[in-house]
Amino acid sequence: MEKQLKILKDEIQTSLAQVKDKDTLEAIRIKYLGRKGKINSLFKEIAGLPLEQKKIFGNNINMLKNELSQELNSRLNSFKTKTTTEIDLLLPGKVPHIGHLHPLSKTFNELITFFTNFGFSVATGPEVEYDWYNFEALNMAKDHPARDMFSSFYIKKDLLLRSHTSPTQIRVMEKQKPPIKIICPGRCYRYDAFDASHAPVFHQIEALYVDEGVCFGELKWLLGEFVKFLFGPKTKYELRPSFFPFTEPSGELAISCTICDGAGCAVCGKTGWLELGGCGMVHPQVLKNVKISPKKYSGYALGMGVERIAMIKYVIDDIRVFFNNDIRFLEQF
Amino acid sequence: MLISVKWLEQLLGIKLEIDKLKKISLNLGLEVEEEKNLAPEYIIIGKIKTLAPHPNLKNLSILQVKTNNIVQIVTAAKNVAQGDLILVGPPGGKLNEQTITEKNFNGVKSQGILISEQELGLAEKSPGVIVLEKGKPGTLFKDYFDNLVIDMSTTPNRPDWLSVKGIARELSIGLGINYQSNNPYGVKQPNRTGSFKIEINDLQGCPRYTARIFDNIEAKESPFWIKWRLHCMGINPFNNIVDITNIAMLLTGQPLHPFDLDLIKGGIIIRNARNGEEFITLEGTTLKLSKDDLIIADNNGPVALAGIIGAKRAQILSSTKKVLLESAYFDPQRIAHTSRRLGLTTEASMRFERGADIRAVDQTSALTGGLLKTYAHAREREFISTGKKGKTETIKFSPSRLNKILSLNLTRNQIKTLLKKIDIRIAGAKTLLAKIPHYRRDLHIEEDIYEEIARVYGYMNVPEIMPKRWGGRVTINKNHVYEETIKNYLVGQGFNETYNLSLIASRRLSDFGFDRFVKIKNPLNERFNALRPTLFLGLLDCINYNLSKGNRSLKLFEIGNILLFEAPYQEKRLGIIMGGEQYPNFWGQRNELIDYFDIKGIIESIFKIFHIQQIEFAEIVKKGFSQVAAIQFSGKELGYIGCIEQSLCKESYHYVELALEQVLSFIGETFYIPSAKYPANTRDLSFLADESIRVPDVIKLISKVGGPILEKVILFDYYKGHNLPPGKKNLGFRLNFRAPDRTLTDREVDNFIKKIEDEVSGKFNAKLRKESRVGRNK
Repeated sequence: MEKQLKILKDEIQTSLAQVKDKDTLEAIRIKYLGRKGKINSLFKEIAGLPLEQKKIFGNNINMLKNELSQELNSRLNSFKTKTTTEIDLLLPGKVPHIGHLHPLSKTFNELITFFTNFGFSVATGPEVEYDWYNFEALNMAKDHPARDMFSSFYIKKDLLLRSHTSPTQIRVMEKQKPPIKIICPGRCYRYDAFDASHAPVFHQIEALYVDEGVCFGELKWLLGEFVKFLFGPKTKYELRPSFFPFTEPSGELAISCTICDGAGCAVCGKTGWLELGGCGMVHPQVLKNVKISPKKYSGYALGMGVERIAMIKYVIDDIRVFFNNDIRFLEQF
Repeated sequence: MLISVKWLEQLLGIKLEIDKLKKISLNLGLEVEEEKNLAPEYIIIGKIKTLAPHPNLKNLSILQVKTNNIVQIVTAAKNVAQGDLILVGPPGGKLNEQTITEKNFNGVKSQGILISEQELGLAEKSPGVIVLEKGKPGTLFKDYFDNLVIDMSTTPNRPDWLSVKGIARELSIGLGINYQSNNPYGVKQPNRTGSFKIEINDLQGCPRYTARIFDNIEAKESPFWIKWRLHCMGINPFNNIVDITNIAMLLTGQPLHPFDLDLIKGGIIIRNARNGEEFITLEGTTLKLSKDDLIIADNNGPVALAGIIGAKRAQILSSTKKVLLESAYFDPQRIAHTSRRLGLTTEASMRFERGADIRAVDQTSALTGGLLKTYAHAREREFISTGKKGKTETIKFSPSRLNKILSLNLTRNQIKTLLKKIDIRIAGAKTLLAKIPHYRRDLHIEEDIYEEIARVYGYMNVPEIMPKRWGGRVTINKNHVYEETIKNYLVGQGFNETYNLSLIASRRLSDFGFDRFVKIKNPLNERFNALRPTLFLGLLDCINYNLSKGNRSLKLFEIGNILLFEAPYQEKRLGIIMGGEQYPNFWGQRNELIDYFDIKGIIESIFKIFHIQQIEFAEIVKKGFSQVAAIQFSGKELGYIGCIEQSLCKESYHYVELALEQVLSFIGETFYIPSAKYPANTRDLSFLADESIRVPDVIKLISKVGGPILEKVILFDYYKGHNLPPGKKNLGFRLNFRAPDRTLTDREVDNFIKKIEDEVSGKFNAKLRKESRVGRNK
């Protein structure tokens, strides 16, 4: 048996030495490794041997079989790479050009996702508004000093470009009875020069919930959930007293700086906090203006700038980049 | 509002730590926006011990000055004498970026300089050096005088915060110190009357007016500390009389106005202006008044625009000997209205329009009287007051509703303690009655009290409460969903989304042939004086911006509102712009350029996504486009598509704009149709036709003749070229015939092909060049 194996080995070596092309290689494969090949017939021969020997020879034949098959494969590969019809599999692929949503859309989407999952419906309103909706119904009579907080572009007397998204609240409350649970995303305008931190055109989102028994603690709960969703579970918030004519009590929402975690850095002006937007309990006069009884119902509202949120999220320090639409900017999102 | 921290410290009687002050402010609703040290670092107070002329330089004197030791200073100043307190800039100190050095004047060394007002930024030019009326030699200037100034951002509901006292009072809540007093202005009203005649014609506009009359006035420069304090608080010093009224206003929040009494003819009358009445302000501006404006007048006309600004003709000058000091209360709305109409905001108007304290009118007048006596030798002669005194406001509120709204559980006693901190007293048991301090002009309704409670209790101490109900029905606007579909489709096709401003220059719009667009009445500037009637110009700007940065393969879009001339004033549009290379970064391809059919394909696929069929295109003419077609649906124009004139962006770009809401209104319903059971019979037809023949017309005709068994017609070949006769083109159509209930025979189809050939060649003067069977397919 041992002798047979030795002869076979030598024979194989001799034939391999004479290989010139794929065809002779294939012939060797069939002759030795094929189903009726010489190696298989050796296996048949050891079938009658005693168990001990069967094991030893079996192993040896297997080894020979594996060695030969490896050798044949590597030789076959060496022939393959020389052919010309094959492609280079390692060249870069034809990547389809990928487009990008604007970071403000991405931010809007996140905000809308949060609020709609918390039961708010999306409401939109016109960008050109009447004085009534932009100011008077929101508890800012003509010549009210608080109007300076919302300096506006006028088109005609009593017709202006809305300076916040709050007018949409009024439009919805005029038509719908409580419970009302809406968000109003949209474009707003303010009489502000176009510089690194101001834009005459910007975007806001506003949330409003009016129902029986809505309370300040519920607003605070929502704020807590909101900042954690948007900026991560470690984010803390602070609610500080503030003033808006259409809420009472009014608050200013700040979050712990997302860069320094509240330690104080250049982004937060060393305060550890970033201001996010305003909120509060809907002023009873506003409810009266839309014929909802402030005795029976109460509500909360919050509003914030979408650019502001995107600037915090992506650490952008100049609001103008949102409107330049440089693709080197857009393609980062 | 600019506030000197030293002034606050003087009122509160404690040292303030800036970081703590900032934190306390935030939790009270105030915010320190900026902080700045105004006093130069090294300047020190000195006292002149001896003064001697320089031995050989005629104009100079040699001073021995006591600071924290004795220094020798050579000076050219003429206004100093032995014993004077002066300010010394020692060597090594910095002043306006320059380092002070020790100098030698002909053998006499000078260890520093004397400081003048010019060097402190108080005056443009100063004749002499500063001589102080008080000061401690050896003390640093910044420690003795105002230095740290904070800019407090205050809200318009709190006029009481437009005063140092008001801020001090507010901070005392957070600091936990007692600064409330029954007489917050700190003076007793002297008992005095007079005969000077004051008449209020409009008691609604001016509920209270007082005049305090002085003679023996010495109008001159103010002492240094007053000038420096005003400078720190952002007000230019003028003369002692005016400066003192300003100091009193900054302290109390009550604006005052001094008149030169000798320039007032007769008595004072508070009345409405006459339409067109002229008024020359202190600053020399001539204003045309209207009958809504409230004025202070004498026999000759207005001497002040009430609560806003005085007239030039009665102002205090160095010649003034007698003064009438006005302290009054004016109606906030009247002042706000006039101030806005004239675009004139002053320190006084800002305070009156937010609401001054009517109870402070008399007291501030008395306080100012005392200061005039001290700093202007004024002798008080008369005090005339007229009008109302103002009454204490009360607010009824229910503690149980308060607890419900604020999510708290406060007892009556806790409420009482909290409100006492802000000087509000309560009475009653079930329903409480709050007595509002007269300086709190912002508290009127129950909810105002809730806010005060929450503020003093601490917003962050209010618990978070998870709502027990979910509230409200949910509505979904399907168009928002469709918009997202379009956005995501375009992004998937390699388009970047853009946001462009809606403001645009009207001149550009006129150049593009727009004649009806919305103009802004009060524009920021020429660049932003109109509203966009199209998304095109914004997207065109994006192309040019990116071209300037070296990127030419661009696929961009925007979904946004354009603004219209009349109601509903806006319309949502989709704008797409594209051009450049198909695969800008691919190594292998001959880089084909994006062309018109690429953008047309994008638009056609959007219609396909929404199952909108029978969209038609018709050539039109439009400024800015070399070729452009209108996009129509059953006669309605939905938008346009075209090739942008190359003069506008240097290269070949293509644009499409659609009225989005209109497009989405045509979305049809989708019904399932089972896939065909029988094979189709497909034929290719090639026609030689005149160049003027329109392909959609041919397809329409073929479809009509083919009838219901003609499943689909597509144009698969289009050729114009040298091996065709001039003026002709070759059109190849592939026709799919299929019946739902059987396999069509070739004979049947042949019949249709014959009919189609006849009709097409007849109607369009086209010749069938070739017909071939493509075969049956599934």
